[in-house]
Amino acid sequence: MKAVIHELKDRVGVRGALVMIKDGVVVAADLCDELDDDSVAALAAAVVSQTVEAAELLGLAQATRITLTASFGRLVFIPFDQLMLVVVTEPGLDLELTMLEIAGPARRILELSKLTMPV
Amino acid sequence: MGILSSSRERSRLSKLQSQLQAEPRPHGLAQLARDYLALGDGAAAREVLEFAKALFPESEELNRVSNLFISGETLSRLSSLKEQARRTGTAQAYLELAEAYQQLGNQEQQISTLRQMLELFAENCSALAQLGTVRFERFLSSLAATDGQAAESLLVRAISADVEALKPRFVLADLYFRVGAIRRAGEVLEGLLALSPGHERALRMRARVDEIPPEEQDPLEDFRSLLNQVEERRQLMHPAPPWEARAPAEKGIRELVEVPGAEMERLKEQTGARCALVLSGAGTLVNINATDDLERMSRSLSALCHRTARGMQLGAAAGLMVEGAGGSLVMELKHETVMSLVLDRTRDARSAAVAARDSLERLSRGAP
Repeated sequence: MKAVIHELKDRVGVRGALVMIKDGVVVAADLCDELDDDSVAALAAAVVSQTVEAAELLGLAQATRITLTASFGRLVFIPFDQLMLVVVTEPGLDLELTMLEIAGPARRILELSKLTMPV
Repeated sequence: MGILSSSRERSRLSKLQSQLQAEPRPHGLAQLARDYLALGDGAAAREVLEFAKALFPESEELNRVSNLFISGETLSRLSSLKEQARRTGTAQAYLELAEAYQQLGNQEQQISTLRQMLELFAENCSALAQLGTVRFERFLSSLAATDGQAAESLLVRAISADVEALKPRFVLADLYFRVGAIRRAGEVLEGLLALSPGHERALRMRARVDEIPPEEQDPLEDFRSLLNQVEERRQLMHPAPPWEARAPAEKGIRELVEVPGAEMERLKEQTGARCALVLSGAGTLVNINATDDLERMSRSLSALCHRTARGMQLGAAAGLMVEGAGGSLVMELKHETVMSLVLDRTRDARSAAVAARDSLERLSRGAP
């Protein structure tokens, strides 16, 4: 999983990525120097738990992707069964391009998560 | 493209430009600039981008086109500047390299080059002033007290490094004015105008300082507590640039209750949204078929987004998109204003987000 995360970080406009268990425990991470793995995981856990709850309440069914855009960066959260992928990207990057860069590694993490964490 | 078709295209773009100048829309202007670029007319593209960015400075799409435009010009210069900095190692070479990174919108590389420069050349005024300006711009967007404090510290160091430098004094006065430290802003401007009596923007800023009656000024002017107040309220004491020439007062979104209704009806139709909602700090501005749950969730998710963006040092949160198996939630945020749309799964959330951002820009500028 670490190899996939490192590969993801090398993609255009990606500042870093981590895989975590949904309660905030980091499984693998490769973030830029300014970001701390545990702090990012803690914030991500809060975002995902609230948005997943909101999605269910609003009849959107299970959230498959959450994107938070800010002035200096963008966060993409992709929840899997027990795991979650968090990707930090540059702000100016086109959203379609961001998703394209993330899609392949996300699929591989999903496959790995099925191998390592059967539900 | 042949001469004839190129001429037809130019004529079409010229007409479109006139229409967009009369009724500006960020998406239309971005597309016009792209079309001019495709036509190879860099000068026209620049003109459109300058006009558009003055009206919609926070439009993500316009920023992207602008970066694309600047990138083309600057990328070719970047490699020679890197080589120059490596070969000559002069402060000027590093400064030019940092400016090139700034033009490319690569703030991390800009900061890293300036820090490297400070390590090599100690307290260099230009590097400190650039770093202070970057932090000030970040503060205007994040409203985080730590950004404001860092900006002040860097700008004061820049002034100490070169007491005759104008730029750090100007930015410092701007910073003080925006957070409400009026007396301090006045003192810095005194120093600046003593060095350069004809500095037009400084004269305009001093006129603004003089307009503020003493009873409206904070007598203590504790800069840290003023910064904390800005962070807590999520609002600058004086948001408009104090050095700008006077323009007709911009309408606040709260004064436009009737207009957001029409804008949101149009947006709902355009995006096919199931329901739409606009909230401001004062209450609900528009509610089209939205439930109490959406209202409650919009408020709590918006606060969560701002906290998360600040916590990760990403500046101000601008939007949230939740894509689910049964539909999506699109939220656009600007200061205290929240715009939410709920879409069915057949609708495209990403284009709805772009349209919602455009609408929010228009509403906050008071465009009908």
